[in-house]
Order: sequence, then structure tokens, then C-alpha cells
Amino acid sequence: MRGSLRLDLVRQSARTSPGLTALAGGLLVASGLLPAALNLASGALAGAVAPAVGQGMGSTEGRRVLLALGAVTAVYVVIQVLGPLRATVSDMLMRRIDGALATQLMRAVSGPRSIAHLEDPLVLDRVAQAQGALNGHTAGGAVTYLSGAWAVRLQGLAALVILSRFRWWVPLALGAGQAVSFTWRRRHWMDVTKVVFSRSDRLRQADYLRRLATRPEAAKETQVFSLAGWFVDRYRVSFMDTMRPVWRERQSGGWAALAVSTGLLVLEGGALLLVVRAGTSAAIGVGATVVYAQAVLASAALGRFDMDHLRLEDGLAALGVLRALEEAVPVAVERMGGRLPADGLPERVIRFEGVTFRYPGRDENVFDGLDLDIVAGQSLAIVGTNGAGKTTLVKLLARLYDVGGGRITVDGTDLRDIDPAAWQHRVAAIFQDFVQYPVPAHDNVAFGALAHADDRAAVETAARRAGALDLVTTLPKGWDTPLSRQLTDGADLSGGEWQRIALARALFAVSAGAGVLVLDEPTASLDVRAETGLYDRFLDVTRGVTTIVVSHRFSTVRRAERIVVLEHGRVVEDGSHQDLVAAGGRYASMYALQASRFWEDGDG
Amino acid sequence: MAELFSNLRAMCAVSWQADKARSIGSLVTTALVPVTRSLQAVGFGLIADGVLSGDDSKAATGALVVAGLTGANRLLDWASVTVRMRLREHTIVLLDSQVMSYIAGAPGLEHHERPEHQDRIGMIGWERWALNNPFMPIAWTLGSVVQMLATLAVLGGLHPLLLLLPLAGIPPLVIGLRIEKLWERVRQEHAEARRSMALLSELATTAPAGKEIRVFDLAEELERRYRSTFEVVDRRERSVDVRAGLMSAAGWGCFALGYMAAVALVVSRAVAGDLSVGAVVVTLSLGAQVNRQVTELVDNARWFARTTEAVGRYRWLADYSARAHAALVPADPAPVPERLVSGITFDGVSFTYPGTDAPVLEHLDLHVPAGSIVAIVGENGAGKTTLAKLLLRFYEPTEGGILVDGVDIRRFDVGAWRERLSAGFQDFAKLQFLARESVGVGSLPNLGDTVAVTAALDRGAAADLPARLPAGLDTQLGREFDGGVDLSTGQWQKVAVARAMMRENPLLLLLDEPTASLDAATEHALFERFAGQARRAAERTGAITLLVSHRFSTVRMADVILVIEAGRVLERGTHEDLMRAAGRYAELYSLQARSYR
Repeated sequence: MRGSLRLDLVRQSARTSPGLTALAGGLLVASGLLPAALNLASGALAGAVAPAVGQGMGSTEGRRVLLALGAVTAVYVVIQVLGPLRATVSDMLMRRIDGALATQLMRAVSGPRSIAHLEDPLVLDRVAQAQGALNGHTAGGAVTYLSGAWAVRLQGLAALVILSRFRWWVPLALGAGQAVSFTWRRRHWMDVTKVVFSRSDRLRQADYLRRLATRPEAAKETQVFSLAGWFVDRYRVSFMDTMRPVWRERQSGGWAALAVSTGLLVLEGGALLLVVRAGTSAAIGVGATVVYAQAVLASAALGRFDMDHLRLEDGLAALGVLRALEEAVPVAVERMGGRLPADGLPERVIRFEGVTFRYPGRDENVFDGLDLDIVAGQSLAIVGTNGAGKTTLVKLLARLYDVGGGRITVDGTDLRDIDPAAWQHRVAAIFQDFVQYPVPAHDNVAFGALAHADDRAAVETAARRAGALDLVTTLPKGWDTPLSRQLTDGADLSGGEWQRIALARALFAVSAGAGVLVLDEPTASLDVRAETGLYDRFLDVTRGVTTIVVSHRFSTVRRAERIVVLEHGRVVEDGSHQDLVAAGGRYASMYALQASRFWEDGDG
Repeated sequence: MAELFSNLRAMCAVSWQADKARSIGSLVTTALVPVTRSLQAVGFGLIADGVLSGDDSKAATGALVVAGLTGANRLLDWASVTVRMRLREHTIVLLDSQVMSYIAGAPGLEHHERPEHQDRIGMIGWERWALNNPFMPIAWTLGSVVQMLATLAVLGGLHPLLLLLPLAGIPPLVIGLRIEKLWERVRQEHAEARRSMALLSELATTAPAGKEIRVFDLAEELERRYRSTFEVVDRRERSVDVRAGLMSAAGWGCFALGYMAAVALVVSRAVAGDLSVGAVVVTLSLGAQVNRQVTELVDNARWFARTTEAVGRYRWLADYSARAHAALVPADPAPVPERLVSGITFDGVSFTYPGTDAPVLEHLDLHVPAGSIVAIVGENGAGKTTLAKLLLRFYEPTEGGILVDGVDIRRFDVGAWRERLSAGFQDFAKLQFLARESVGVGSLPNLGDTVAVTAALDRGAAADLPARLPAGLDTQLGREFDGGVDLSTGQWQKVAVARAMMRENPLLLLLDEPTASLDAATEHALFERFAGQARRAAERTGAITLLVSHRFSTVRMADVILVIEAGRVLERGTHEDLMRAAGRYAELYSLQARSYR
């Protein structure tokens, strides 16, 4: 499997940058063979010196020395110069491959129209590994180590070829010994790695605690409750729990290492003695003796398994994980099928028919036979207690998940038969955890409908309707200000300001033709003025658009033409604000809770 | 240079503290490995001379020396890798623990909220891969130097002129350092582009953004932006790569010619009969070694140059944390009172965030009587949250002081003061632990106390939560871990509120918009409880409950309402007072009330 990954890496490299790959290949072969050439030239030089002693450089023997010296010099200089050039080519190749793979990863992960995989810890783990975030090793980096490993192997093989001219069986014996050494060390490393992987949940915990302590998200609570020491202690425990068995496993290789080393020592010592004996018995010259002796040592390259090999394995693992993710994409895309167009939908009604749904990996159903009609062109508010399934309903509607049982139909067509991309294109949504894009303000709004991004007037209109226009004009570079303080001239918005931008994005999508507007808690961070402003414009904003509002704020909810109360995954009340208040049920009591404090005094 | 040495010292200290035995072990094994390589050349000399003179035992000795050193080298290498990996793991735990306590333990939020500090801390997070083995380059350098000396001793024995050989190493060394500087500049130039690439890739690979990206069909656009940023970075870095490669090749070419001059010298002396053929073999077989030594020296020099910045940032953090602690040690300490008698007073408090010019609070005077429930209202940016941050001592006032029963809170030990307060925030943390832990950390001493945790959930109007979790209080929360259960935003907020309820007798309970994601029934229940509890606590300890909110339905039940505008108290009084006054409060209240009629 690893072998095919190596090939895969080479193919990826050739696809990404054919020229650099060819160059790297050429340099690899050169650096694999040149040491052997240097050995031979050195042997020739050593062999040439003895007969030339006392003859002077001008003699025939002396000229032979000069010739050999020239050869040694040429090979040595080339070796030295090729080294840095190889590093340069590797570096360029690594960057290109990592760049290409990063976009391939983005494509693989954002390819499926469902988001189930994005909420699966296993997938998130793999994404992190593919990005090299777990150990700093990427697939691009593996190219450097792979070419290094192959060059070293080539050097060892070249040495064996040289030795075959001495005795045919010496390279066989040495080669076999080195192969055993390499295989053993690699297997030992794999055993250790397996132990590490078996503890990955603990390791992830350690990493989580590290992030928790070093990032701002939990900083206030960390300070108020004095949690720093507790975080550090737990981090240490998690880390040590992971590493202790790893250390045991690693140390268990000590005796085997000694045995393998001793075996190799006997082999190499025997070979060297044989070579030297041949030399002293004048069967071979001094030059050849030195060449063969050097070749015996050079063959050790075949048995070496060092840090670079470890990094290579890590980098290849990152590539393997990426490939697994890529393979999962077509499957996920196919599972979420449907080819029918979505143009102009919905014209009449979106209908939930006996819908059941549970999240992957959970035991209990969120919905267990949900029936609900959403009339096209109307505004519908969904209320309910925390955890009643309001956000899940919205996710199903946007087909970010497919239903488990029952069906959702749009104008009578099963949603599963409609092309998911086309349907999602019909939906404009801001979710509770809306996105803060690190791009200019204009793009943050225009992202609602990219095809109309050039329509600056429409972007401004959407911003005005969302109450975001004033804040944009106060930004240092207006619409061109990047909305991230991590970027040059970037501005940092407050939660309420961000919410207005996100709202503008959804409204821009509606103005560009989206037929369904989803607002999941659109006013949670707004201050009184902004909130009131939005309510006042609510009817205007949603006129003629199928609108679904999820909110705890009855001030928003009551403006909707129709309200449903969701409880335990079912609709328990359904009607207009007036109907529901008059009915005196759940809605009426929830509304009264919030509103009564405003009624108590006549002046309020 | 002085900075380099003090950085080196700091790095050695970390390694030493992490694992003394393995620090020494890694130093010895790593330094010995190259020495065994150098001495092999002597063995080769013996072989050559033995073969030429027909001396069997001399040649055999040479062969055994070479073989023995090779074996020793292999074992040492194995030991060195094993020791180094373990040392590296011990070091990373230590470094991480230190960085964690520096960041999480440093009092105040300045390091979390100032962009330039955030930049540095972010880089430290990445650099842990580079910093986790600070000892190795030192050991390697030491090994290279020892080996260099051994090599020079061998070569110098052949001819004194060969002692000049290290000069040939100067061009690659100098060029190597210049290249490193070049790269450091490019890295800084590209830091922002790389950050923006990381942000874009994060958007494509995480769930919250995943929803919008699908609905608005943004995947291709994000990928396009990533690619175009990447191409700009790559184009520039490619040209730097080519330039650096050529420079480096030229440097190494100089070195190779220098070394070959030495070989030529030895060869000519040998031809003249002054040196043996063995000497030629020794010199030649050292060629590869010398090259390796110089390579390692150049690499290590570049490593030092590169990590100076990283170590500098790490030391900055240590220093920052120490200063943050020291700044809060009271000159004239006073104990935190057991109960409040008079209350909390802001006495001419002004505050400007570090690194900014505009004051957020200006000469703020206000008194909050003991035992009261106080609501603070005001529009976005009025300074409400800042006021809370000062009370929690996340920041210290730039002018004036905050007095608790007449005692400046700067005279309290920060830890002791915080132990007597509790707080819940709008941007609460989603702590992905077991449910009991995620609540329980609100009072570490009672972490394992099921009764205390249950009581806190009850006080936080979240008593129903455990029943809705598959394993009750022992349910792992959050999707980050196997078997973890994700909560809805509102449920997470309940957990956070319950956490704030863990401390039983706080003098000050600070709630900064704690109900933004709660449903109506929970919000109502929560405030009923708050009020009742606050009154009881007030009787016992004179405790103050301080509520920041723009939900007027909640605000109106407070004893005192403060309207803050532009860093000053604009209005103050009960709901009835302020409605009668028909000022800003009445205006905002009516705005909101209108939506309910």
C-alpha cells in the first residue's frame, strides 16, 4: 500500500510540475551514481600514485596521476554543486505539490452537497492529518524525503555492483544483511506507529487542551475560574498516557537492534578482511583494494532507516488520507443524487411528509414523523425550546442532510430527485454560526450571489436593507476594507456588525433570484436600534419570498404571516400570531413570558 | 551575537529541565557519531599502506578498525535517534505546558486581544515543530566541531598546509547565512498571504462555513482565491529558490575546489616520495566526511539564524507573562472582604485599550450599593463590556480606581479576588469535556461533586439537560472526540450559565449578555432564579449581581439601571424613575416594547 503511495506521489508530482519532476529525477540518478564514480576515480588515483612515486609529474605515470586527479576533481565538484541544486528543485516541487494538494483537499471536502462529513470527528481528523497539522509533515515534503531515500538506495546498489566484480556472492550476502536490517527497523517503527494511532483519541485530547489554553475563545472563563493549571495538568496526563506505551514499545527494540548490528558487523568485517587479504596477496592492486573497501561501507546505505524515512512515512500517510477523502467524494455525491432542475422552485409549497431524521452516530431521532407545509411566497416563523430541532429542520430544508425516512417535496417533487446544487442555489440563508469571510466588505455581501458580484448598486441596496450600509461607510477603505484584522488595513467588526453583514449577504442572494430565505436567529447580536430597524423592514424584506425565520425573539416571530411551534420533533401549534395568542397554548404562554414585562406599565 | 548566546542558553535550559539524563545522552551520542566516521579514514590509510608493503597484519588491523567503527557508528546512531526522540517528546510536553501556562495563566486579556500579540502567539503555535528539539542543533554543531578537529588532526599530521582547509568552508557558510536572511525577509513578506490562504482553506474544511459555502455555491470561488494567492507567493519564492540555489552551488563549488587543492598537494607530495600512498587514501576518504561536516555546520548556522526569531518570541511570551503577573502584585496588599457592606465604587475611572488612542471610559464615577441587582444598558460600543472587564481585572484602569468597600481592588491578590466572583459571557466557551466537567470547572474544588454540579445546573435553569444526554452528566460533549455529542447553541449556553453558577457565595456575579441564545421559557426561569438567588445572596454577603443586556424585559427588574453612553453614566435609577425621566432609557425601552404590541 505504501509502495503504491510512493508511485502515486511521483505521479502527482509529474502532473503538478512535469519539468521540475523530470529535473528532480535526473538529479536523483546523478546523486545516486556519482558517489560510486567518485569511489572508482579515487581508487584510480590511489592506484596511479604508487607507480608514479619518484617519477615526477612529467612522466607517463605522472600524467596518469594528473588524469586521475582531474577525474576525481571533476566528479567531486559536480557532487558538491548538485547538492544545493537538488535542494532547490525539491523545495520548489514541495511547494507546488503542497499547493496543488491543498486545493484538491478543499475540493474534496467541499465537493459533497451534504455536510454530514464535516460534522464527523473522524473526517475532521483526516482533514487535519492531510493538512499536516498533526505532525507538521505534508505530502509535498515527502517528495524531498522520497528522492533522498531513493538516491541513498541507488548509492548502495551502485556499491554492490562495484563489489560484484570482486566476488559475485559478497554483494549478495551484504545486500541480504542490509535488507534484513532495513526491514527490521522499518517494522519496528511501524509497530511503534501503530501504538501511537491506537491512542490517537488521547492525543487529540492533549491537542484540544493545548489549543484551549492558548487561544482566545475560552480566555475569559479560563481567567475567571483560574483554569490554567487544570488545563496544563490534564494536558500532561493525556500526553503521558499516550506516550508511555509508545516508549515501552520503542525500547523493546533495543536487543534486536544490538543483534542486527552485530550480524552486520560480522558480515562487513568479513568482507573487508577478504578484500584486504586479496590486496596483500597482490591478487588486486591497492587502488582496487581501496575501491572495494569503500564499496563495502557504502553498501550500508541500503540498511539505513533514519529520521528522513520516518518523515517520508508521515508525509505518505498524509497523502494516503487525502486520497481516501478524495475517493469518498464521488460516493457522497452519488448518494445525494437528483438531476431535476430547480428553476423557479418553489411555486406552490415545500412539504415535509412524515420526515424522520437522526444525526449519524446518534441514538435518538430529532424528528419522528414531522409533517409541515411551507407555503411558497409566505413567511413562516419556527419557535420552540432549545434542542427542539429548529436548526436541524433548516438543514434538511437546505438539503445539507437528506431525510432518514418520509420525504420532503417541493411542488410535489421529492427533494431527493432535484439536483442538490441547483436546489441549494435557490436557498439564501444566514445561520446562527454565520461565516465571517476574511475578504473585503463588498465581497462579504456579494458572496451571496457571485454571478452578480459586479452589481454594486444591488450590493448597496442589500446592505441598506440589512442596516449595514452606515457601518460600511465608516470603514477606513469603505467597501474595499478587508474584514479581518489579520489582513493589512483590515477592520474588526463587532458581533452585531457582523450579523448585519451576514444578513445583507442573504438579502443580496434574494435580490439576485434566490426563492427561499432562511434566517436562523438573525438578531441575536443586534442592539435595540438595529433590531427594531430590522423588524420594521421585515415585511418589506420578505415580501413574495418564501421565508423561514428561526428565533427566540417574539418581536421578530410575530411579524411572520404564519408561526409553527416545534416540540420534540413535531409541530404542536400552527397559525398566525393572533390565532396562536387567542388559542392560549404553548405559543401564547411563551409570548406572554417575554412580552408581559412590557405590558405591565401603560407607558411602555 | 550576545542575543544568539542567550537564546542558546534558554534553549539548553529547556532541554535540561525536560530530561537531564537524556540531554547528556543525546549530546554524547550525537557528538560521537561523526567522530567514528572521521576515524575510519585512518583505518583506510592502514589498509592502503598494509597492501602496498604486503603487511598482512597492518592491513587486517585497518580492516577491523574500519569495520568496528562502522558497527559502533550504527549502534550509536540507533541510540542517538532513540534518545533524541524521547528527549524531544519530553521537551515538547514541557514547552507546551510552559506556553500554556504563560498564555492561559497571564492575568489580563491584552495578549488575547491585541492583534500584534495575537500574531506572535499564533506563530509560537506553529513553531513548536521547530522549537521542540532545541538541543539537537547544538549537539550536532558540537559533533561537527569535534569531528572537524579530529579531521584536522589527521590531515595536519600529513602536511601543515592542510590546516588551512577550514578556510574553504567559509564561502558556503557565508552564503548560507545570506540565503537564510533572504528567506526570513521573504517569509515576513508572505506571512499575510499565507495567513489568508490558511483562513480560506479553513473555510472550505469546517462545518459552520460548510453550510453557507453550499447554499451560496462558494467552493470554487474560495479555491480560486486560494490558488491566485498561492501563485503570487509561489512565483516570488521560486525566483528566490533559484537565486539561493545558484548562490549555494557557487559556494559549494569553491569549497570543492579548495578541498581538491588539498588532495593535489598530498598527491604531489606522495609522487615526490614525501608522503605514503596511504596518506592519499586517507585524504580522499576524508573528502566525503569533510563535506558532511561543513554541510552540517552550514545547516546548523542557518537553523540558529532561523530559530533566533522563534526563540525570541518564546522568550517574549515568558517575559510578558512574568511582567503581567508582577504588575498585579499589590504594593500594599489587603484581604478580600468576607461580605460587602458599602458596595463597589468606580472613582474617576478612565480606560483606553493598550495599543489604541481612543478612551473607552472617561472619568467614570458610579456607586453600586451592596446587595443590589444592577443592569447596565447602552448601545453597541458604549463601554458596557469594558466596565465588566475592569471589574474582573482583565484590564487595569488607566486612571482612577475601583473600590470595594473603600479598598482599591488593585490591593487584592488577583486570584483571591476572582475566587469571590463569577461570570457568564455572551461569547461563552464551549468546553468539550464530560458534561459534569464542562459545568464543574466553574469551581475546580467541587469538580467531582455531583451534588454541586446538579445544583449549579438547577440554579442555571438547566436541570433538564442531563436527562437529554445519552450518558447524563458523563456524556462527552462536543464533536471533537469519539462518542462526543454536539449541543445546540442554546444548550451550550445553558452549560456556560450553569458553570457560572458553580461558585456558591460570590461577592459579585457578572452576567454579560448570558441569554442571547436561550429560549423564552429558559430565559424567564433563569431570571426568576437569578433574582431570588441574588436577594438571598445579598442578605448573606451583600453580593452584587451585575447584568449587561439590551433585553429590556430583563433589565427592568433590576434595582438600579445604569445607562452608559460614550464611556459615561448618562442616566441612573429604577425602571420607573428612568421611564418618568423620558430620556435615553425611555426611548430605547419604547423602541423595544413597540415590537411586543
